[in-house]
Amino acid sequence: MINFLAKRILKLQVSNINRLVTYRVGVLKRHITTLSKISFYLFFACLSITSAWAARPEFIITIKDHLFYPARLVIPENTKVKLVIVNQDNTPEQFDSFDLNREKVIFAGKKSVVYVGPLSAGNYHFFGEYHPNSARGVVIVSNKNSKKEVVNVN
Amino acid sequence: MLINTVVLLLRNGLPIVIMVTLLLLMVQSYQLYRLKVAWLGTLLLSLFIIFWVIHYVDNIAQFYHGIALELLFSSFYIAIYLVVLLCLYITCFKATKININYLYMLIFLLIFSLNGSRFFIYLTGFWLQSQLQVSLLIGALLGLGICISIGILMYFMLLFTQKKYQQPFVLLLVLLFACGQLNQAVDLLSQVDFLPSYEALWNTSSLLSEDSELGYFFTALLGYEATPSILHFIIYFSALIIPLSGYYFTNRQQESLKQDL
Repeated sequence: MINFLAKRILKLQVSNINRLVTYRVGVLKRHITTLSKISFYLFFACLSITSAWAARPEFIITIKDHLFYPARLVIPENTKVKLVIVNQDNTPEQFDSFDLNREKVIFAGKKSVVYVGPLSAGNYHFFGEYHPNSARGVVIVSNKNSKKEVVNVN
Repeated sequence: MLINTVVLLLRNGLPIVIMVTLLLLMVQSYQLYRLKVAWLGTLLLSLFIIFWVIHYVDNIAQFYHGIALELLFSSFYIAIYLVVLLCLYITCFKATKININYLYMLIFLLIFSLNGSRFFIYLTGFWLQSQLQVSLLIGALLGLGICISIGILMYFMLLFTQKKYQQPFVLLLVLLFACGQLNQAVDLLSQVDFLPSYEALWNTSSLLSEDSELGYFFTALLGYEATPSILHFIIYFSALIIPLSGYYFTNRQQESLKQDL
């Protein structure tokens, strides 16, 4: 009788453990399916973002003799723009801006890309971290038509 | 130059020191000793990655429309968050099939390689242009001293908290740290237009500036952002609340299953 009861209890425990394992495997499968779906959507989101890059208005800033040209750059309001920063010096420079919340090292003789905006009207200062006294500039966000200004404020 | 180097080291050294402090509180000391060769290997591998990144950084930066460096660094930040989550899952649910020590090593490898690379990229920039190499070295030593002091203070403060609260508090800090790392990834991905940018929700710079010593500490520890956008807000709190609620509900389900058994 005791032997029979012990076997019954053991069987019950084994079935409970099986239930637990089946439940865990089910949860894991659901998680994997969800993760696969998220990855799939993310992949296509990245693709669409890449195609949207072409549509951004593009502005060029050149670093020469540790100065930014243009030092005053006018961009349109509420528009995300692409800043192409070309470093013509033979030393690296770091484009830095607390106002724009951007920082990026531009290596010697190379160019790099930083996206800014959409921004409301106002002045947003930037500087070169390695030459903070000379390399300074300002992005002017204007609600009028934007144009590139080649005025040096240094 | 001296102050710049100290700031640079605080910005990139503090995340490493904070994570090492938290890991020391989580890892058993005998396991640290037992796996000393593996830890040494991790350190050497991290140094190799740093060296590799610095050596090829100007080429890496030119790949994929000039945004490859941001993508590389943000993938490191995201990886840190994911590995930390896995570690917390194993610690909370005692899932011992994976050796947690190797995950700790992976976290260290990611954080050390990432912050070390960023630090040396900026430092070599300064080094190439400065005539004041002595100031750079003194600044680096001062910054290192401040970072280590903060780490030691934090370690003993957490060590002497009540045993009952110590582990949950440390685990919560680790999760907050990981959420902060995710916030850094948001910044980088917004910069290269992989994520949309929005206006700041608020500005707490007047209360606690990100460029102050305390600001650096809280940025490294909790991912403090003085001017967060709606995207920072959503991602940070989702990254925090989803694991916490997952822990709560799984715990409740396990309790009810135990009662059924």
